[in-house]
Amino acid sequence: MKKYIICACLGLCLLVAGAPAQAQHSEARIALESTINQVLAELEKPQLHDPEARVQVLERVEAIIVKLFNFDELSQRTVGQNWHSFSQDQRHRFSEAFKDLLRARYTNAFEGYNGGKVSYVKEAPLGSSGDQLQINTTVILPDKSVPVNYRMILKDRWYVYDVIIEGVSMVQNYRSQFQSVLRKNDPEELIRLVQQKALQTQNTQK
Amino acid sequence: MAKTMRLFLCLALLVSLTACATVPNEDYGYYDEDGIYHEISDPLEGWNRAVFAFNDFVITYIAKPIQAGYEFITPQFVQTGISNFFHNLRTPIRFASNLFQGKLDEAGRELGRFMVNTVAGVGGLIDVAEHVEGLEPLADNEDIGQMLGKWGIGEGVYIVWPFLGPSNVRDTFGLAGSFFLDPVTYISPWELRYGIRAVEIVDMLGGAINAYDAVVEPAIDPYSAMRDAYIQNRRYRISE
Repeated sequence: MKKYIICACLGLCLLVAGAPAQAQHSEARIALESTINQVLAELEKPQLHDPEARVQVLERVEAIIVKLFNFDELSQRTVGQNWHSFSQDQRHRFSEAFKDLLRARYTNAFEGYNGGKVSYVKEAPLGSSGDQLQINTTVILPDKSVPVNYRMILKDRWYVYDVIIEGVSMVQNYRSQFQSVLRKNDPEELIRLVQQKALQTQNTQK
Repeated sequence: MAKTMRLFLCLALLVSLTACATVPNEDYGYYDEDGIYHEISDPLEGWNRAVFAFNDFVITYIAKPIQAGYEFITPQFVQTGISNFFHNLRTPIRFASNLFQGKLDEAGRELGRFMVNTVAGVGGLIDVAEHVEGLEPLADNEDIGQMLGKWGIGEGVYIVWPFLGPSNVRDTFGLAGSFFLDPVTYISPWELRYGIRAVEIVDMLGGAINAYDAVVEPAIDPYSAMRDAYIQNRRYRISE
């Protein structure tokens, strides 16, 4: 999982580097690539492999990635039909907890960064509203190739709202878990579980 | 006569169980953002959760220590050789699956890789074919379950098997099919066969444990995470 995330980001960076002469890319792709370029610049630094300086590098990476993801959108999509039964306060707290969890999880992934190659496959609109699209990439690791697709939505700017790795959608996977929890418990329990997991993930990385 | 009856009953069972998959189960379905309803059949949830817990125990206390020991003792090139050897040996499964899905290019590539690697790669130990243009490793390891899926056979209910892990009705039949296409099945004496199987299992532990951890570690409900990931991944691999 970690390797895949790294290579997904790497690949998108290489997309920019590898296609200077291509026709103008969509705003969405430009937003994605710019974020990934910044992430890559951080990951390329030798400090990543130094146990002391690593924390600062990962924190900067965290800060960059957080801007590309819209956590309200993610929270709403993963909680699904049950969102309307959450109070405003619960929605806010859930969003924060989920943000912590994702941040911890994906930051963990970058620690194993070791290089890789990614190729851009295609970009296609989703639905007919014109504000959603999907960018397909392939991450080429030493032992296998992994298809990684990004779904993006336009709000005040372009955001990623789902990452699909080998056909498994992150949003759908979390949704199946959250629905399973909410079937028998109330929103407070879900928020508590997410917070607990975020903390646990953070602790294993430090 | 008895054999034919048994075969018929098996097929009837398969068809009737996969028919269950087409009935939406309110408890286990969900609506995606386009408002389309997806159903995930899990009427065996009680059994599945128990087996999942058992498998988790096996992975944590048996599989991981064995795999760690194997990795510690065995030089990397030997691990790669063993891995290549078994991957090569399972070519008949992938070849048949690709062929009967109409994926003739991929089937040809599997066959080509098998021939080159067996001869030039010392019985499959070395993957020389990856350097040959047109014989690079394939993106997906096709199996009989995927072949059945491509034929339109529904996945049927979700089942978790002890040791084998997540599956469904169709993929379980696929595993049986793979068993009969696996050359190791036909090796005798049984001591040799079981010995080879043991090595085969140790070899695939690394990949299996990584895949398991990738899904289960970040999950707040590991059972649901695994079920969902398995089903999504299978549907995707069949569609490709």
